[in-house]
Amino acid sequence: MAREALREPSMEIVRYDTMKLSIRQRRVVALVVVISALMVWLAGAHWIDTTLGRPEVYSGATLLACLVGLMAIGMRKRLVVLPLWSVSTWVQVHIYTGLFACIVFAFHVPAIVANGVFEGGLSIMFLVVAASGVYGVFLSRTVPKRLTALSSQPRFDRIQWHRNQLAVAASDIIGELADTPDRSVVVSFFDQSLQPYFASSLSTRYLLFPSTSYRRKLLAELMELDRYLNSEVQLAAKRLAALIRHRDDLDYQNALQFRLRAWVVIHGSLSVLLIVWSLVHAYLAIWMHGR
Amino acid sequence: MAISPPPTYVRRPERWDQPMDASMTDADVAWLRSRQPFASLDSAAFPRSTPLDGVLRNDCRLIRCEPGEIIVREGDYGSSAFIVLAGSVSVFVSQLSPESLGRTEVKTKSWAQSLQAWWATSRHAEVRTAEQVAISSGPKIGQVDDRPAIFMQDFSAMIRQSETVSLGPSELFGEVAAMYRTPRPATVVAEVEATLVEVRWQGLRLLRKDKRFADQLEDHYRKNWLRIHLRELSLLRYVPDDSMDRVVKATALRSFGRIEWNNDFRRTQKLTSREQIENEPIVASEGQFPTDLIIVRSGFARASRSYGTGHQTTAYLGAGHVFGLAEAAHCAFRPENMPAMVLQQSLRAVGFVDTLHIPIEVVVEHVLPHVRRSELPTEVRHLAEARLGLNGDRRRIDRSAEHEASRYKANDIRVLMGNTSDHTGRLEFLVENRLFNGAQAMVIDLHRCTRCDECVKACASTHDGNPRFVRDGLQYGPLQFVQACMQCSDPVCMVGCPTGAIHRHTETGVIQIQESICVGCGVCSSSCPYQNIRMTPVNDLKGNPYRDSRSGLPILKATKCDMCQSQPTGPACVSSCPHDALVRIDLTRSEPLERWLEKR
Amino acid sequence: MRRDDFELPVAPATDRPSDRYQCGFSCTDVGRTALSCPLGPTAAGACRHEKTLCRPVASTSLRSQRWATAVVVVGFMILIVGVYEYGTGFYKPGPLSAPHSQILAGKMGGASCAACHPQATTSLFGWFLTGHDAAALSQSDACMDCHHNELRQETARNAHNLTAEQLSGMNHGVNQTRPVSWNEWMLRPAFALDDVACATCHQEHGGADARLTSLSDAQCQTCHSDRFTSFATDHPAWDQWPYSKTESIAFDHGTHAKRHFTASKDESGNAKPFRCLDCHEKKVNGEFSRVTGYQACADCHDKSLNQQVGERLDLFTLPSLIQPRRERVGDWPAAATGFYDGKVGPLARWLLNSDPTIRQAIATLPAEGDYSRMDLNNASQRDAAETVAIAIANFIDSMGSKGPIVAATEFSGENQAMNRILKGLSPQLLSESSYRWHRKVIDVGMVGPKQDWVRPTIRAAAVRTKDNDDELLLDEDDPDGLLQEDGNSQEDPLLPSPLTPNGTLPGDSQGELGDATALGMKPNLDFDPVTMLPHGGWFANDTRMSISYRGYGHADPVLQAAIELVAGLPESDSIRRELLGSNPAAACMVCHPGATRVGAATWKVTPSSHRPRGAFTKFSHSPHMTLPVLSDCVQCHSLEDRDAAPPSTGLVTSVGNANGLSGAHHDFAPLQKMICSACHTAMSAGDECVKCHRYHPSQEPFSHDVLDGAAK
Repeated sequence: MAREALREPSMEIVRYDTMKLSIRQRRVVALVVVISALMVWLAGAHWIDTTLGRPEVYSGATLLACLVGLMAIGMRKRLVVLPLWSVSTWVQVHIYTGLFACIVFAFHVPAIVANGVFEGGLSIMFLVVAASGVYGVFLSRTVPKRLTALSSQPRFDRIQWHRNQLAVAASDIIGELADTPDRSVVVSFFDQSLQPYFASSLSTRYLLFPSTSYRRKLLAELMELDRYLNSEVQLAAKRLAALIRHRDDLDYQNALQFRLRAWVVIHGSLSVLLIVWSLVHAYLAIWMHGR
Repeated sequence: MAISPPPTYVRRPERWDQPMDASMTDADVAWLRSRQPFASLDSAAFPRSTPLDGVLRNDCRLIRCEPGEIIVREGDYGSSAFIVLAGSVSVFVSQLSPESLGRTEVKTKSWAQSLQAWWATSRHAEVRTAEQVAISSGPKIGQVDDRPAIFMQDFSAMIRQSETVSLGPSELFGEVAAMYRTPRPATVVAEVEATLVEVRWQGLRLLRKDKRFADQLEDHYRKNWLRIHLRELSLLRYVPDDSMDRVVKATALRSFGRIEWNNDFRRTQKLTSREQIENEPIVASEGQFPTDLIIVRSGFARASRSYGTGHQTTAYLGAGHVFGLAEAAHCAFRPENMPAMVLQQSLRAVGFVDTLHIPIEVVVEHVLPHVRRSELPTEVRHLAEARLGLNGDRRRIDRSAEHEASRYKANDIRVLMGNTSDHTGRLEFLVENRLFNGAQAMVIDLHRCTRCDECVKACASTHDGNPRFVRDGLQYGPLQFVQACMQCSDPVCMVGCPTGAIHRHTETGVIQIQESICVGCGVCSSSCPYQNIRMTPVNDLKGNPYRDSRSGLPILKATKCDMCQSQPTGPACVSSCPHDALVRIDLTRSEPLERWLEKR
Repeated sequence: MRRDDFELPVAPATDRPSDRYQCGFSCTDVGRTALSCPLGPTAAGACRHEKTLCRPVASTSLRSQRWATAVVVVGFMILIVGVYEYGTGFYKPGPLSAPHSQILAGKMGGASCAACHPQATTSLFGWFLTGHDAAALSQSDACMDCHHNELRQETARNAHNLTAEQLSGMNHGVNQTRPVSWNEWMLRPAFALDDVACATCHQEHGGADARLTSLSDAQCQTCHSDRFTSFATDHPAWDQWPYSKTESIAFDHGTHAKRHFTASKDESGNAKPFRCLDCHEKKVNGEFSRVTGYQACADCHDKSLNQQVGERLDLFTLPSLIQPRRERVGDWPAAATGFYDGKVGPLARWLLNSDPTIRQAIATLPAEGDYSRMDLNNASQRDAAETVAIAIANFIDSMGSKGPIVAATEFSGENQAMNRILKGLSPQLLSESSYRWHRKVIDVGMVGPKQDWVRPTIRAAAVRTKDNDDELLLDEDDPDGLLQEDGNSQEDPLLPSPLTPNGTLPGDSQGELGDATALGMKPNLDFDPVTMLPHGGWFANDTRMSISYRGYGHADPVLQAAIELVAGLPESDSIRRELLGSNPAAACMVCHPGATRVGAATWKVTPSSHRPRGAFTKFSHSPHMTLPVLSDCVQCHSLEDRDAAPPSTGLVTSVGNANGLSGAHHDFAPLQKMICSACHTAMSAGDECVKCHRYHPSQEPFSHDVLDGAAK
């Protein structure tokens, strides 16, 4: 009995980790796969071309297949409940399929931007989707480091809440000030510039082009006041300065995280359009092809 | 320009500030003294600071159990032992089905089922069906003198079916789990209306002042389990039985720190890391000559060496780790003229640690001769080699067991000596925040995380729209240790659950909550040092809150990460991360995290 | 933490990311948002607190959804509007090639598509409704609507526009010579050989400067599955290309270059250079004339030609008879009485042969009417001689009276060649001559010739004199305007007569005619065609009593006609042999062996090769000539080395036998492939198939020998 009883829970710990290869290895493997796939594809294209077949149909079909495959990741993201590989695997496949598709696209189109409203729109759409994809990769590789460098890591949905907290904290700091002659200096400054700043929500301008200029302006002005203050109020001023920095960090977080979300929306929605247009295009192409 | 703040004066907390049961009266104590085993205790053996009566008043509690009430469940963690005063309880030797304890086995859903569940995700938060909220079949939950109690369904039938041992007055049970932080070995149910005295582990410690009681406590452990524990150590696996007897006999059992370390942790967290280290109970201190080989049996300890004016953590030790092996080996193999080696590091209990101490002479005589050279610390290995010249039969044994030894990984010795890391800062951080407790902690690499919250979305979609964590938590450099249940190796949350709703899965070690028998008392939530268990009010299918029929208060349920056990995907948070930023990883060892970080 | 620093409070852990709404954090009591908002808003987006000013806001996911939906909807609108507003004009798969784009001038939208895509006649949604129906007009048909001039509708969609059996025939020819290679199993054409859509090769919408007709080697090799890695290594060598012996003209570049020109001397005494371009001058299209006119030869050959051609060709000659029997021959010119002499010429024979008795008689005569070899004791020959003589005399008279063509036609049936021969022969010349030969003494006062001699009629049909004709002749007769040697007499009778050089003075003629025989004969005896007829023509010789023709220069019409007259006769025929043997004709035949070729007799230069140049191949000199090194023709067209070649070939042969049919040998060394492949490599001048080959055979309709040629 004792032996049985002694059985501590066997901590056979499964490590849930999506990475079997290191990122560098994975990149190499992926590139090799893409290149070899391209080789095979080109061989096929050449074969069809030399049999006086219809390479444009071949490349078009490939593109369409790629598009469908690329779209599938959207479905996968929503269906996380199913064990169909990890999303990160999908993302890798997505990225390199996209790369592949771009090259196939170059072979498919007569001109990078076809003339004609429909085809022109189609190719522009493809280019925009591709570009947004590249931009997305760029963003998701660079922005996180910039975010991590910031003082805090608020969640996107909670940034407004944090702003409110800062506003409250600021007014508290002012409220707690003892009634000394130099209090009025800070209070007046607070009332005319700080209070509106903390109360304000994020401006669209900052959302698109974040800059620390206003923050620096405020801080400078606050420091200006320093010479009129005694140590107690100076401390309060420093607290306010800290709040200003936090507020700016929040806004910066907001702007960057917005970018990280916005590009996905554009990329995704345009790709839906893209596939619809290309289906119509495919129909036209097949139907109109001379025989 | 730092302005030093004026000191604030407080009264240092003392033992028995919070008695186990404030309602214990002198009458109760006197009555207890009249009953066995307390009647036979020698009150003179107790120091003035902790008199026997004090122990009985502050560290004990009288409880009345009704027939069929489940007192302790197999696999539970508890910090108190029970002594039967009147009536009788029966110990279920054979394992009971989870159903009989009101727990339902989690079954992995089929694709269709999980798809269906995903499709039928409720628009409202925390929606539960009636049977999810309150248990309908199996054990009943009732009140016994204003404490929630869970009763076994048709208890008499269960008794007849399964092998049980009946315990009568003055018999003790549950002490091992209480003192050594091991899961309860068996389920105990009250046969008839019984009166028990529950003694919390501090009390048990004090009661050991009485020799006979102490023997009663320890012998049980020595006889049945100590040998097995020692055998489980890779270091001792070649020790022949006769030597092992000597070792078992000589080994001393010690405990450091408080078992409810989580309560202190809240306080110590506010201190500076330096103060934290100094507050930790010291097991063995650097610079002294080694007297024992120390083996961590449960809990955690940190090895540190004094560095500058503070202490630098060199490793954290968990169950099975050995401290002072190098020093002991040095004593064994050093030439006569060479001075003995003093301890290179201090060992401190992080929160709570339970240790086995093998006297060094026993180690030299009975253990080291049977240790593979390959497993000796590098610094003393050459000494051992030198000694081998004299000792021929050792070499033969070695050869015979070479292949055996080769089965052990090269870093065995490293593991044996505890979790070290070249990255001291991270090591300190893990220890300081007790993160080494996490067996499947959620770690995010913020340098790759795009804050897309796909992990949270995934968690929501696998939990009927209610994420079981928020992407938030302690941060060290680019690493974020997210506030999701880490499935701790030392699950303090499981201590003191009145109905055993929170329990650990015997295979996966995942700690799960049986909501139907969760009474929403919030003990687990409040005792989780990482605030990873949330008490959430539950709503009916229309989104209206459930309320208690009697008190009218909203029904709360403890919710936490369940590692998506019911999902075919495994943890959805991991599989849904688009950038490989998130991982569920074992922090009780430092190696997995380092491996993971190497790959990025 | 520094005292003056501030740590963000822990945010409420209540986000349900998939919810549509989240707390607006705008409660009046801000503290509460921190603490008592774990519930979050209701699914409908209302705050859960009874009394609150908080307005829940759309969650990130909801806002993303809205934006995405907006973008998609807008895109759909554009698509739909585009289709409805612009219809098919909405789609423009690419600019057309320049020529085709002109088709669409003034066409809009669907019409412009429908110009080439018959499908486009219906609307977009029409297309969606109707599936593919094979019955519909195909696009290739649309192509053929315009291009029916280049190709034949029925074979347009066949590979190389060849019918199946033509193709199989060629393949058969090819297969025998071709080793089976691995690539037979590799590339197969993606179309049926009898259903090659125009668009298979001619891919439109490539822009104005797209090459619609480009075709890669690999594409050729879809069907021609032998691998051509390069022209130099893999292309089969050709045998005689590009030369072919023209069998209608005998000209030997070799001898001219090596012997004649080197032998020649111009005024400065140097040999004349043999320059290709002197004869083969460049034409406007940059090509070179394959054949040159006579003028190129004239410099050297005119003299000798005129000399040979200038020798007379007899039409009739009155034979002289021994004691003509009056009852048989009536009055016979005294001058033609004596020993048997004279000859019945080939032309005369041709004419007389049409009468069986006369033909019989001629046949009886020795050596086809050579009187000089008569056998005196042979009575039948004597009869025949007289019969023929009379016939000739009568023929001359009837020609004189009726006009030669009429008489000839009456006697021996219509014959174009003969008509052309006699065209220039004037009746006056005949009647005049006949008169002179037969006349007795006549008084000068008498006007106009008068037949006062009698002659029995051999054949009623043969010789019939019509008085009214005589009257006409009488009326018409102008003693001054004597005979014209050319056919223009009707137009202008006043041209000076060759017979009477001083014909403008009738008095003289009268005077000359003063004395009887002597006088009558005299002027005619003097008549020298060489001087009197420098440019040729008909004339009578009173000594020989012959009507003869003197040819002049190149392409003399009468000689041509004479040769054509006999060209039809079998080679064994004596008439043919004799005529062609005669100097003037022989002179023609030297260079014009083709003139008497059986079947296709021709004077012109006709490349008689069996291989149709340009059916599948094309070649243009002009790009080559731009290269200095190639501008000298002999770089490629090198003359054959005669020592190597059999001497029986070339000019020698063609001159040797009068009919001039030599083997199809030419006097150039065959053009070696390497001459082309020296430059035509992938690197330099390019060696694509289509450099020299055409997909569409240029010549239609096809003849089978063309195909055989192409197959070889």
